[in-house]
Amino acid sequence: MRNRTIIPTMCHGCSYGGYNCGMLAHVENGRFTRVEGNPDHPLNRGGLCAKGQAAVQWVYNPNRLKTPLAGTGGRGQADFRPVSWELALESIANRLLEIRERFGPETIIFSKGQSSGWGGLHHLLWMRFMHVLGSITFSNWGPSVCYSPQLMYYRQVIGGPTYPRPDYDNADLIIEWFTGGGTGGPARGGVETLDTNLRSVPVKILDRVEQGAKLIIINPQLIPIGANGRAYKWLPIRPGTDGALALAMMQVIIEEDLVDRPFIDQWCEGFEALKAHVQPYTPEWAEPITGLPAREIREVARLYGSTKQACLRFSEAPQKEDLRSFAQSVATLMAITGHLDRPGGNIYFFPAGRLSFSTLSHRVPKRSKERLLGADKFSVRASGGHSAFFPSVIEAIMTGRPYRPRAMLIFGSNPLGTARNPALMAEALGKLDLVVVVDVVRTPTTRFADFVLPAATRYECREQPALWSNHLSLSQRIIDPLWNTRDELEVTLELACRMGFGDDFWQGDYAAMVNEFLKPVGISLNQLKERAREGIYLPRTEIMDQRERFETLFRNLPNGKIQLVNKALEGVGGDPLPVYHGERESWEQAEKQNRPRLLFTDEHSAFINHHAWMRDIPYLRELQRHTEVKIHPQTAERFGIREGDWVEITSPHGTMKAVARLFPGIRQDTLMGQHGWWQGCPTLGLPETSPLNGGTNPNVLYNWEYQDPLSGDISKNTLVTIQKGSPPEEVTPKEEKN
Amino acid sequence: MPRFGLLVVVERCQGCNGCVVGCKNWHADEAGEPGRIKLIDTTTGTFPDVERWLFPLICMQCRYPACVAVCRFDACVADERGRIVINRDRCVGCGLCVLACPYGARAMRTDGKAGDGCDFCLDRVNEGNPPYCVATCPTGALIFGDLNDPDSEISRAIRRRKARPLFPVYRTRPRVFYTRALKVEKLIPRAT
Ligand code: SF4
Ligand code: SF4
Ligand code: SF4
Repeated sequence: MRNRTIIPTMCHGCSYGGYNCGMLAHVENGRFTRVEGNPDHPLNRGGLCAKGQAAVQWVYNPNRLKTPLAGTGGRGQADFRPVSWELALESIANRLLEIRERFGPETIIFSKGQSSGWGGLHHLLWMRFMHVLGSITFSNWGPSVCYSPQLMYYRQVIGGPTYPRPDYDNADLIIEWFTGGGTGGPARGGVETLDTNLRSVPVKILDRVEQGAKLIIINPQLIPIGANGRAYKWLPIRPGTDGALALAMMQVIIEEDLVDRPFIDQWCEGFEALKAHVQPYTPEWAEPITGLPAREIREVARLYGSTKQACLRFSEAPQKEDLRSFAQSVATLMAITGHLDRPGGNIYFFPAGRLSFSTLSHRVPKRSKERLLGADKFSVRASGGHSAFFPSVIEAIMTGRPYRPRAMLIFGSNPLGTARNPALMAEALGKLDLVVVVDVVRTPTTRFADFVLPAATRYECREQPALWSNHLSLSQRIIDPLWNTRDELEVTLELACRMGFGDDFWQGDYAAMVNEFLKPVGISLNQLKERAREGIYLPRTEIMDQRERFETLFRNLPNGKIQLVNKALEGVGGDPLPVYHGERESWEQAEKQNRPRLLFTDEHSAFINHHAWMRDIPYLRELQRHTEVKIHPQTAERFGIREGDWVEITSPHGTMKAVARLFPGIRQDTLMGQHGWWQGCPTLGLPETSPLNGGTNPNVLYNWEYQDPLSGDISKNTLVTIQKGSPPEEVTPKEEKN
Repeated sequence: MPRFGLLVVVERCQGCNGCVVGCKNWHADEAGEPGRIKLIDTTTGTFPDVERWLFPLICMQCRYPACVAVCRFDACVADERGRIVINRDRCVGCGLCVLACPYGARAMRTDGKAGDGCDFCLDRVNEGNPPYCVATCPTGALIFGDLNDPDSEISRAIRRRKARPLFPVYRTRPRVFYTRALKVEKLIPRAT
């Protein structure tokens, strides 16, 4: 007799440990067998994407780390011996206390990846751990190039708590500007979330387009949401030049008086100066820069300016040296056209409540706070100095200035894959006294660790609540942790207790921690467990459904108004009015260095993995076996490349390999690769590859010193050459044998 | 007697592969096996006037199935409701069905036998649920129902969207319909 149970939980393919699609997990005789979408979950209403449906293979993945390992060889040697959890945690606790004693708490760095979610339980617990330890150096590569740098500009230019997100539901014009158009979380879509800023939500876009809204794609490649005849217009922009397009659109809109006069009069200052300033940024000026015909630029500008309910989703990860011209211009554009916080435009998201507990930041000693790495960066100061700037952390490790960090705790992150440049990261890891990596699978970073701790997947972990908008949802344990793996939250609690911090960590009581996390919304874990399938809806607050909340949004701006001439930015060396600077590696550079006019960038998201996650999952990997670079057929012909060839792409900074995919939907002067490729897939006989130069990592092609001056955002635009090459070298994993 | 059919609303397909992986997840099909659904992703036209096409291709559940007609072993049969079912025990792996199917919907498994084509999720439909791909498609691009009932959602959607099967020229009378069929059928790589 089969013993089958169905357990409601959440998927963890997008925002690990965060608010995700609802899932029903099938368990038969103690084995997790398959999943289906939970029709009662408002985010996905029964749907699941490819990633979500590979959950079972992800859990039973033979590639997983299975037991704690202690490094025995030198750094990077990956010589490990299995150890007990007891011994590993005791040793880590002792060494952390010792380092704190000898060198100060600020020399202990916490590095956490996107894989372990932002802002949720993981995040708060780990911040609290670091604060009690006495350090605030909580950082990673991702936030230094992705969401936060641009957010800094938005807050400076138009205020508000977060990004203004597209109100797809009511829009008559939808502009997807250098986004993945839903590829980041294709099943997310039925509910209002902050996500609509992190990921476009395809269902809402499709619904609206079917009702007659126009969809405009601004991207070097034609993305899937624009397929099947859906794109009203595709503007194949040259990568890195978005600031020029935005300025030209602004020029047209102001010249043709398509602005919202009453809004400007009431809520903006400095319009006349802006008007004079953008005069020279005509579409004709932008044409040779962006590679887009002036007439197309004019048309899109007119459409945006004259459509009352028009929304924009702009990439949260533009990754430009010239981030400022793009971010400042687009934010300004939304404001002066009256699309800000109005139905169908870009509106602000206020959740009905927050799940949280104190991170005990007052415990961080003053000296430690003052020594925050990267505090010289405006972006770090502007965000309240809560987290270090990761490139500054690496620099400090390398140079010992202003001091040498000693230990790095890496939870669900792989800086060797994400950092620019990876070789420098490898060197930096080698200089630390203690490296601890906690992850579900082996990564290139694990081989630099003194201790590798095997995390259980969320499907094997205890209850984790998450809240978006007003919906409270619960992730639950499907099966017990496999092998000798453990829930990283429980591990953190235990580590804290071993270090003598039990009083601040609920004496290790997991349920007590979750209940405190839930306390602000007045729900207990048991109440939520009883409603695990449908979740709990909190009462909506008044502000959630209001629009034109300008007084609240602009509260922190001078005079409570948008400063079109931005003195605050000027004061820290920025541009008071948006100026186009461009990326450093432009056509002029190509000419100077006698290189072909060929640009490279990488796409931010794809349907079948979340950044580097899940590339080793057979169901997903069989859909794309190798890292690919998209190349226009004419360009391919010019360089003697055929579909499926391994190619070598070389920039002034390094070389990577990829398989050529001929794609007529990309600019002839642009190549688009993918980041996060190094995993092998033993089931399909595919080897692991290196994230270093000559391997399969686009980060070796970029120069990490090409940073936006205020935000520190790092360029992912570079000039390259391409030629036929051999497959990349195989990396032999060593952690496996344990 | 209901006559089940499927409508692919091409306008709503985002090409996410949810149906492709979902089908394998539900039926516990191994990776590396052909699977029952394929995703077509092709781009036509000349830059910048290009059009990208994304849509799933599955067994068309033909009323006059070429696969059944050629199978000499009764391994490929239509059940009492007309759905195409593969009887793995009877299949000798001759591959005639692969050659015969005008839609390229059949492929051989790594064990040398014919891949079990889509059966519209017999198990689920018998329990009153839609096929798995239909339930899981995040965008609602797949509509399932009774073609014999003129008021069913699928019948109404087919009429409203002027959907039709692919390649009617083969006269196999598919039960799978596509919106924009004329455009997309040009893009399907034929079985060799
Ligand atoms: S979009 Fe896909 S991966 Fe993301 S949460 Fe939903 S089912 Fe999971
Ligand atoms: S699940 Fe739906 S949207 Fe995704 S590929 Fe299949 S039919 Fe298209
Ligand atoms: S589509 Fe091919 S496999 Fe399916 S019933 Fe028709 S002939 Fe047979």
